[in-house]
Amino acid sequence: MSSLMRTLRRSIPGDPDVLLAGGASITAGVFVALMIRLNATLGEHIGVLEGSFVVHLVGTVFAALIVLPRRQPVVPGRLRRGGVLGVAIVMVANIVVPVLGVALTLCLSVAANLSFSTVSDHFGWFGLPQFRVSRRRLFGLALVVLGVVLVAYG
Amino acid sequence: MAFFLALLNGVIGSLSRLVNASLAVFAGSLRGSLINHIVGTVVAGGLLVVGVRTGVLQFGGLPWYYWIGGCMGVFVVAASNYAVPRIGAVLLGMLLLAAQLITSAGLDHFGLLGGSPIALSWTRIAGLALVLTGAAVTMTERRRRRE
Repeated sequence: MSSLMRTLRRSIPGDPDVLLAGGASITAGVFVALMIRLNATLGEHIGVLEGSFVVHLVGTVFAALIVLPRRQPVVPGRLRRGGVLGVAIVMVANIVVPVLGVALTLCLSVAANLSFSTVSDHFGWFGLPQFRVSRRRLFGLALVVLGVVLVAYG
Repeated sequence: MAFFLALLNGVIGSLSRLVNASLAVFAGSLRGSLINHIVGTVVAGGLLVVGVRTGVLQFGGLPWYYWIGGCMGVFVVAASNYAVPRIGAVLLGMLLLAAQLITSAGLDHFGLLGGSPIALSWTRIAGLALVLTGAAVTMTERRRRRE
């Protein structure tokens, strides 16, 4: 009961902690869209791979400024593959955005993301726990796909 | 063509999220992001060094703010870090997605920051609303693990 009250109190708009976290989330979303647009224009200007290089270099410097280097854990090689995928993501986005625009690119990426994770969860790929696909999930995916079609042809 | 590339990017995105999730467990998500950016810099730099070219790496000609996209990516990771324990991953995801879609529609409509304008029609607004609704239906699902 007391935990329920605590949760309720936490969700009252006006709790500075919740408001600040909500504001941070919204700002992050705005930044995602801005970032994709800025990167694409940079890519058009200096080339998609060159753009991806600059994005990662600048990100490295910025992240290093935030994360004060303390004890550095030794990271296994298989976990470093994310960086390779990051280069591909920025490059592909740099090619796609000038053609489709930011909104459609983001919608397609949401659709592909949700579909892929649904399939991956259903079969329990990557050694992760298995979640069988539900009707509710299929309904949600259908809404997303319909939305993408409307955005594409709107 | 661009359509399929965009879909492909979504798939790569979820792959990289999987890798990053285990990296974050290992190193913390901000430091994980740093490692990602370092590896990305080395890989992209390596490709450029061995002579792969898709354009001309030249400075100047663009205002400074076109060069700071990389900072924003790091900020997104930091903000998510901050928000998840306070408002939960679902609410974070929904706010993030809503803000993304609204901002991107605005950028497209006015052709801001170097894009060509794509007018915001009622169909397009309905489509964006559906994408958001569908994502909400999917993300708020309470899932039972299969034995």
